[in-house]
Amino acid sequence: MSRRKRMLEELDQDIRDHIERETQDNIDRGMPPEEARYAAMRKFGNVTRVKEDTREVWSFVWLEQLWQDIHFGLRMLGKSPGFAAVAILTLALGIGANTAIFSLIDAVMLRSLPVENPSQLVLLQWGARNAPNIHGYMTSGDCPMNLRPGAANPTGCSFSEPMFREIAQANVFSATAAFANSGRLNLTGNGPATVINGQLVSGDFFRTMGLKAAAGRLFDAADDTPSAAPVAVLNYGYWQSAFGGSRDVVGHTIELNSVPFTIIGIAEQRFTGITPGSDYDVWLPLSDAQRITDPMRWQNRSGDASNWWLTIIGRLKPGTQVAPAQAVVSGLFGNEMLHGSVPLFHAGDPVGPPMPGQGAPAGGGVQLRREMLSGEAPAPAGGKGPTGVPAPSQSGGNKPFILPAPQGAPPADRQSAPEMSSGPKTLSTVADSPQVTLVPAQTGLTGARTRYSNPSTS
Amino acid sequence: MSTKELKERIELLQGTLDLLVLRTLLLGPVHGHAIAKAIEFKSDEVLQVEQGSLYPALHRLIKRQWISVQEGVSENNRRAKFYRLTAKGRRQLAVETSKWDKLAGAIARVLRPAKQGGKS
Repeated sequence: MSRRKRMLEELDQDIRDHIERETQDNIDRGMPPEEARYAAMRKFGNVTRVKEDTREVWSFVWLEQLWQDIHFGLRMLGKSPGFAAVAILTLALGIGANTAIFSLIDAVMLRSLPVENPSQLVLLQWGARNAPNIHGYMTSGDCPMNLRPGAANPTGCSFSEPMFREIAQANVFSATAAFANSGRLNLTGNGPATVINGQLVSGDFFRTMGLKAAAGRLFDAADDTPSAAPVAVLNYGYWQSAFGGSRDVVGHTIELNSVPFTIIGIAEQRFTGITPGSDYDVWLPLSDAQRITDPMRWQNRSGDASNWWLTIIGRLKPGTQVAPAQAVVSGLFGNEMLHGSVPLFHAGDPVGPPMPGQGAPAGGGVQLRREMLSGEAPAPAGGKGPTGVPAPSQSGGNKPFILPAPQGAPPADRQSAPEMSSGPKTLSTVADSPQVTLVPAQTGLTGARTRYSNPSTS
Repeated sequence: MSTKELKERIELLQGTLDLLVLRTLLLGPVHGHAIAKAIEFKSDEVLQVEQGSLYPALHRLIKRQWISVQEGVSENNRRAKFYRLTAKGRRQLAVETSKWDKLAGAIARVLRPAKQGGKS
């Protein structure tokens, strides 16, 4: 039993004895017993506090004893320096080796994206002095963005599909991938109808990530063409939970937003999504985006250079540096921003249906149609729009329709509207110095998921 | 009850109780209640010791190994704990006493400057 315990155990008895003695003294002096006891208690003071104070005296004994032990230990080590040196060296090497190994594991396994050679992956991030002249911007929450109305030096990581195709064909990277949240998908064809999360990915997505299939196969470029049959790749975890991990699902057809998709494979187990914190149940080719998205929301997104909705990732070619690749990509981006004219409206143009095959050719001079720019209701013919946009000609009976700005995405068009005039416009100006920065994907894909709004409903 | 009026009593200065306990024990092993009585009696009942505060002080001194405890039988044949000054405590008492003398002397000099000396 420790000294502390022994001392404190008898404290109660000591205090009782003390008060009894004092009481007896008082009685001897002629006090009535009742009063004698009361006086003794008063003289003693607060018993509880006394006990607490006494306990406190012993409270740090163990610490002091520890200090004494350490002192003793050091003295003993001092007496046999050889043994001390060996012991200390052993500990030092052990701790050092552990730290080194854990640092490596931390960097290679814990912090890295669940893909092959994640350090080669770069995220494309655009920036400019003023917001670009675009009418649609959607973020899937892969990276932080700053595109509030009037914000200085806006930045983001969503790009238009023509821009992506151009960069992908420019052979800057060994592989280039684009992706976007598909919104929630209504799934039928596998028991009761459910709602799942999907990601639209370009044909090269899995190749860029260096991923293999756990079953079946993953997408290739042929799957991401408008004529290809709709196919889907399942998340391993979702495959396990919704399909019981059955290999028979490969070849099985499910309906997503009433579109039949054939499951062609399962992504390998470690891959749950490229952006930390966002898990997708299913991956679909980019070319199927239009099929599963509400036409009113679709807005001919795939051919529209002023509708930005894709996050782009590139894999640096082995042995190449970031800077040269960045210069090339930034050049492509700047070229499109400054020279790719974006006519406001062409009289007689059909409005509404998407125009296939309108992908941007490499280089500048891209002519792209925009259905309607303003987020405001159009002004009467001939008049000026509320934002200063000249109202389009009504000839041909075309009714311009209002682009519903995707929820969560700021109305970027509003910022640029006042400077618009009739005639061809560019997405940005030299003064705004639009450019692209290549950010390591491991730090750039923060997964700062802004509330994603479903483009296919509401 | 004490014979002194309550207002004439003085609260003990922080830390001085230890010194008084050590001094009391110099005369021989005593139990707790007797220590309190002795301090009161010797100070002509001017020093007001809240008797309870004696116990934390005793434990403090035990921990520092300035006093030791042993079981004994009190004057009226009752079992009691007797506190005894250790050799270490005895040395400490000398140190503390001289410290106290210095402190008391210094305070006295500040409060009542020496009549001799000063400005000529």
